[in-house]
Amino acid sequence: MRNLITLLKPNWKQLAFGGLLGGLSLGAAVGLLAASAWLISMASTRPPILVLEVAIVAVRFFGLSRGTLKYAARITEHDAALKIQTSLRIKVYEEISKFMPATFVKLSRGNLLSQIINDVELVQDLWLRVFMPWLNALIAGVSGLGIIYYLLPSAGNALSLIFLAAIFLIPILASVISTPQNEREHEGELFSQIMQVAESANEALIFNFKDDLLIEMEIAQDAIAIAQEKSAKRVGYASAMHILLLGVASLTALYLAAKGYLDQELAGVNVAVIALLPLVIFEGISTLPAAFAQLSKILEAARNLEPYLENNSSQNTEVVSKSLAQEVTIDFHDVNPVIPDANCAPLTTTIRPGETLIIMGKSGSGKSSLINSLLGFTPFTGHIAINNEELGPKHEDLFSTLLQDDYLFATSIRENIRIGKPDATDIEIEKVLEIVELAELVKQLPQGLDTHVGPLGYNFSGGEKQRIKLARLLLRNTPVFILDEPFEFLDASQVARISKRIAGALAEKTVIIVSHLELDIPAKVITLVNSLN
Amino acid sequence: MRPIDPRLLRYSRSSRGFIFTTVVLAVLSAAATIAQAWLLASVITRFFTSQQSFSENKNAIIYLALVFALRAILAFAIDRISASASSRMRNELRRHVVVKTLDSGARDVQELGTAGLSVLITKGISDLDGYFSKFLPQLFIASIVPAAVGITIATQDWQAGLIVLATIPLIPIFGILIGRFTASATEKKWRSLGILSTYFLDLLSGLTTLKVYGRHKIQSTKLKEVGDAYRKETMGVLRVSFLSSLALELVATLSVALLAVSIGLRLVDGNIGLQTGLFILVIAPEVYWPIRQVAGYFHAAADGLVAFEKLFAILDRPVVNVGRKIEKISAITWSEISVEYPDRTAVHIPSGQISAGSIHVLVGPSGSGKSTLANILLGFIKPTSGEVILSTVNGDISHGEVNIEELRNQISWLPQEPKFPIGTVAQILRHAKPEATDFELIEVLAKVHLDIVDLPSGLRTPLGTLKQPLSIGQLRKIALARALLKDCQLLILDEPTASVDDVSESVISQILEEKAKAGVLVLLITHRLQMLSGASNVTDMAKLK
Ligand SMILES: Nc1ncnc2c1ncn2[C@@H]1O[C@H](COP(=O)(O)OP(=O)(O)OP(=O)(O)O)[C@@H](O)[C@H]1O
Ligand SMILES: [Mg+2]
Repeated sequence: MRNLITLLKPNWKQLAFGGLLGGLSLGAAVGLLAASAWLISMASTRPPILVLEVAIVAVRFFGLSRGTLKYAARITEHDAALKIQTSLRIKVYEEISKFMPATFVKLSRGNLLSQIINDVELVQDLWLRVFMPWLNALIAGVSGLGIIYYLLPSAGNALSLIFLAAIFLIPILASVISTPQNEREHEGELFSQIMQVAESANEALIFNFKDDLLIEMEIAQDAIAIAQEKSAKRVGYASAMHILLLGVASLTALYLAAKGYLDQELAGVNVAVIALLPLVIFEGISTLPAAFAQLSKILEAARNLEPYLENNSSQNTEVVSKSLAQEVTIDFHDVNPVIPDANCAPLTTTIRPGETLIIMGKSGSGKSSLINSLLGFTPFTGHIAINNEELGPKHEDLFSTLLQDDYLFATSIRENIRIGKPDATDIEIEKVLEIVELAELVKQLPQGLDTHVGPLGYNFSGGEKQRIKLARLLLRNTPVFILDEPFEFLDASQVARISKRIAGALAEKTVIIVSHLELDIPAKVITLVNSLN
Repeated sequence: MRPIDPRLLRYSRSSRGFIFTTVVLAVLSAAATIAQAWLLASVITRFFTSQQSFSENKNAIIYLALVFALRAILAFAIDRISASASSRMRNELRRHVVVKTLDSGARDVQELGTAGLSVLITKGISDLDGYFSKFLPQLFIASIVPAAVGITIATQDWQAGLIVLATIPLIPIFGILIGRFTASATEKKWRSLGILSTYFLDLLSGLTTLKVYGRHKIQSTKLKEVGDAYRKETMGVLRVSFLSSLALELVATLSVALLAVSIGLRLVDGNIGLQTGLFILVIAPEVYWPIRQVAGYFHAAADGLVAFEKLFAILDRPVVNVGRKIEKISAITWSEISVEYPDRTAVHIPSGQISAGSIHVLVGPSGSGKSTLANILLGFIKPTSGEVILSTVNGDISHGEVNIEELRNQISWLPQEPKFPIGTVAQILRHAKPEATDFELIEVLAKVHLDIVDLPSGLRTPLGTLKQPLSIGQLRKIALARALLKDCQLLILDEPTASVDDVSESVISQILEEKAKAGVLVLLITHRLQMLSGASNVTDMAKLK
């Protein structure tokens, strides 16, 4: 919770201002009723019209200000809430991206990811739908009770007690008194299931597991329905309690007003004011049951986001001075990635600038893990030295890497390629497209480089996607290039042509390629074997 | 975006009874509110003008208490019923939508993106809550209660009645005017929400890539830009739509103010009694309350309604599993096929044939249309021109005329980029053959050179979850094993050797030859020319280019 509140900081004034405006708007409703009740009571005593003048003006003033204030309040609050939401999203993103790489590699598109997205959406409701209405109701109540207290202190005291009971008990009844329903968890479940459905939809049709998917979804839905049923009941109780407390307040007000008038503590024209004010004072509370029914769910989401909001200071503090080496020699000495259930033979070799190392080996033999070790994603035994220095975070920027499961973003070709070099000009982009034989295709597209690649790159063929990723890598300028299965989905002649061109472009660099195809470029070839076999 | 869409009632049967019940409850609760106002007004009048004490009004007070009790019960009932009915209706709708989406494969994903579709089906349908549980019943209530209260007021005092009844029609007019204005803006806002959530998911999914490229920091600025754009879009919508609330609010409060003043002035003249005056004062807001609620809920519902249009685009799609049954297929022939993807030059596929007992190999450069042909045979896309004919024992049938669901039961497939649902290796393999024994599973994995001891938890190794313990090559082997396991008439393998180095071409050729001998039609897409030796048929896609 504390971290969530820290996020409020830049915007809390705006939020509070919105809350104040909203409260004043409800206050205007209180004023409207008080003034008109007084006006009508006074009028019935047939005074000279001048006596009523002030009340008439007040009635019109409150009548106008109520709506206007409310408009201003809603605009202010929503704007603030959306700003907070944006900072929340950014914060979550930034913290996740600070994680140790090994942690977020696992954070793929599974449950966890969808849960985070879902939670970020949910937390938004905390301010707008729960906290603000409560604050508004409180401000309105205080203003109404102030008037009552001013007119008749005994009624003020008694009604304050009832009001306080209502504004605290009703939310508690609606939110807290319930066994945890895990509605949020089930909703997250549903969301990730639907993501699964979405991604494996074609396979589901061929391998007939769409019924399995439907059943799973049905289970999550049923659980949500049960949770919602229970929360509906709680909302019902809380609403009923609201009306009952309103009744108690009304009857108390009637009793005290009658008594006050007979005891001559209260002017007759104010009887109606006191008797009717509870109606508006309690109006603001009427929306609270439905709002607070969501509270436990929202808080759960907030709690779930907590780890992503904390400043992991231990990782931030050490500022490493990055290595600026222009040429890099990599020494592997008895290197063995630590991966469970695998037994690779240790690797010992050296690659110098202008050299290429090709790593081959059966799938699962640890080729990608070796690369992950180099990138700091996977721990390893043995030593890796960069220009005779032990490999460390300072070397991060020396590498350009094509991951085996490199990701294409759902945006244009240009934006995707510019990940390699943010300020790349179209001419530079064209040059690398030329190398991977995509220039032709892109020229034919009506929107050229602005063509959207589609979600997960759907709008392009397997080999085309691979070549877009290659093009993006080639825009980089670092001493070391690491390519994991760069020529997947390309035919032999294309591989021959493209690999030669790439070898030419990276002639000066230190290059490591993982490939199962034999490549016809000058290189040192090492075949990894799983030492168990 | 119409306020009431008859299709809605069709897709959620539970909605009808629910609306009726809510309206009955609402009318009862309006009656209780009128009684409450009446009792309050009369008690206050007697206190003030006749200086009566509390106990002298015992009966009226007891009635008042009873009215509050009744209202409490009604409030309980309304909240409960509407919330649970709304939950039922949404679940019903969601079921329909998911069934339809599943029927059309990845089509919706391609259109909306993974996040877009997931947000639509979860949040989009949840947003309909405002529509189902609030707006819809309130619409009926708003058409009954204000008139009833207005008439009650008119019977007490015709001048006040006139003011009220004159202002009522103003409200829907305002509502309609501004509602028009909001509709397109809301559509825009929803679109940018789609972009926002897709963007966020995209960033998180591609975080490893960003990190490797050292670009993860820049993206927070982008995220802020996209978030700000969404905020501006949303605020634009809200400014307009809250304006309509403001208009309604003003009509409502001003006419209450107008009433109060006019009653006050006539009280001075002695033309009206205090009790009537107080009664009208208390009851007048109730005229506007339901209408204001409708307007308020409309904005909440508008979000849902935009999603609704998208949902209906999915729901109204015709059912796919009609068409002729197929028997044993002896050959598949395609001729003159071309496919036009939007904004692309057409992909032409040379004619060809796969016949039982033979292997058809498709070779050609990247982007020449190999996977496209596979997708056509699988029924995922329709060719723009040309024909695919299935020869069966009962004669030739055009591909478009067969019952596609049945045909798919007869096809097994290794996708170029396999995707798995969450499950264990065993579960995923059994999708291909539910009755397969563990032994069979191990055997088929061994066939593609995946040794069971290489899997961390054997057949129970989880796939598609966050702890993905397998390498990409191993995943492809599992997908290949899945494709080989299914009993089928047509086997389509899209690049079986990609990323897997030790399943040599000869191993796969041998397996495929066995399959072909058993009468299976085999379509193999590959770049490995070595695999051509055993093939009876080769189509080189490059030839047409
Ligand atoms: N959904 C789509 N929208 C637009 N264009 C598409 C879409 N799907 C495929 N294409 C285009 O159609 C052409 C053929 O694609 P297809 O996937 O059939 O190629 P392929 O022969 O399988 O290539 P690869 O060997 O690279 O997988 C490509 O140029 C591709 O960009
Ligand atoms: Mg393909």
